[in-house]
Amino acid sequence: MAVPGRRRALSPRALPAALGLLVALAIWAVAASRWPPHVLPGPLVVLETIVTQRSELVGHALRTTRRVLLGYGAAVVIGLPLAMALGARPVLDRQVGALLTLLRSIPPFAWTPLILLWVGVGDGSAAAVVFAGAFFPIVRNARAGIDAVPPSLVLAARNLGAGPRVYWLDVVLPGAAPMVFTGLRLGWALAWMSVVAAELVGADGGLGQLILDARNLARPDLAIAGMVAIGALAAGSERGFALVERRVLRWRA
Amino acid sequence: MVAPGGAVRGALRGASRWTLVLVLLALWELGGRTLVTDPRTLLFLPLPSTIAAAAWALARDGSLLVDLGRSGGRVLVGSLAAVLVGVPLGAVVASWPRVGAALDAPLRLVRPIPPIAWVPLTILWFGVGELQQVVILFFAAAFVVMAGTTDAVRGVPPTLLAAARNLGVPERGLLLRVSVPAALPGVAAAVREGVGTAWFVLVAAEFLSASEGLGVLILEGRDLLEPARTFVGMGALAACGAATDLALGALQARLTRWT
Repeated sequence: MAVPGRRRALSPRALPAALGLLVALAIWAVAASRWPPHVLPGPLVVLETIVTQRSELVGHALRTTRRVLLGYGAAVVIGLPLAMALGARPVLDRQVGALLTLLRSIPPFAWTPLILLWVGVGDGSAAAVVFAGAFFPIVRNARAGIDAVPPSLVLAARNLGAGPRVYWLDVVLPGAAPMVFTGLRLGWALAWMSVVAAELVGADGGLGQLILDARNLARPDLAIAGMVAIGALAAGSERGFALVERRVLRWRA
Repeated sequence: MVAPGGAVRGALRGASRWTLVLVLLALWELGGRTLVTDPRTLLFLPLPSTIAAAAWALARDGSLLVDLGRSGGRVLVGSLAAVLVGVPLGAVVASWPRVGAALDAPLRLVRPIPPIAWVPLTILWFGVGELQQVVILFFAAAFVVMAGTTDAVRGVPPTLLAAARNLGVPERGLLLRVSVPAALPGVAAAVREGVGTAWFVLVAAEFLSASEGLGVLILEGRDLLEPARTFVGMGALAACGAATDLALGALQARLTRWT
């Protein structure tokens, strides 16, 4: 998209987008008026719930976020060095790569019952499911990123006598960075999906639990409020992610 | 590579790829048999032989097949619905900017909500049953398929369209004769990804509200304190997901052979 045309290109889309939102809200409101509120609450009811229950929502959101950060942090701290090790040692790459291929096919949420059996209900088990979700995309993409570093750069660095520090930090890492970020982003999205699954199946507190409890209490307005909170957290943090990514990778443009 | 004995060495190398996996399995089995004195430990981590026996038993009494069929059927129906809705919607969003913006804006707000978070509400709306399961998988896959299709159609090179126009393809024929074939590889990739997502989400949906299926098998293992069943379910699920992906990958390669 050319920069000068940007402002002009934006406005013809902004109006239909606003219109689309309004129509969607109207459809929701009309539908809600035809069903009882314990089946389908209207947008205003949900908004009211969000406002009145905000402290409860924030409390659950904090618990959920902490679990995501714990599991995701562990996935990054273990995953990135592992990917580097795999990139450096072909034997390891083949052997551990085969193991990872097997494990990767298992949907991360499928680990939930085993993890609950091993760890018990709590932040640890939810974080472990998050780890299972985020780990594989992070490792896989970082590993692919190392392969994506142009061989000419690697050879040049070697020929010019680069030590391991220069080689990894100045050649491999910048070269692999775009893919590494892709993995980090994919892992982040899966982390949020995983935490909800973990909290729905067994956890005390957290937005997933809130949504489930809300249904049991026949409070769909509260369930939707919880879903809105998860969506907002996931989307907002992804936006932040994209900003950081653009910053770090600015030199590529 | 062409050196004599290369084929043998290649085969050996292929087999040696699994050395670590086999060694780990052997250590797991032997360690469990020799080191573990408290049999209760094996309730938490069953031996590979126990898991294999459980798999054999479940396969023989046919219950594994029933679970497989149930889960596979849900993924199939949910994915089909996702393709039928997601591909046209994605194409519309990409081809008509104004209509697309109007359609896309509300969906953009819904998309970040993890599909699994819809489970409680869909149970409330549709009750516990196949429809509710399929709706969740549909949600999970449709967004992926739609987003991928939008990207694919948007990625059709404008020069291609201009060339077709110049060569006399009527405006109405552009979509079917130029845009669709040019976008096909991307759409096929999106469908593959969507089906993969459906397999991923399936377990979580089945955990919460299903009476048969691989997710139920996995959850049962924990509830009955027979984690071997859980492992069998996880293995079957992984195999199904991987097999579907391979099959779709082959289909994708076939459909887009000309690229």
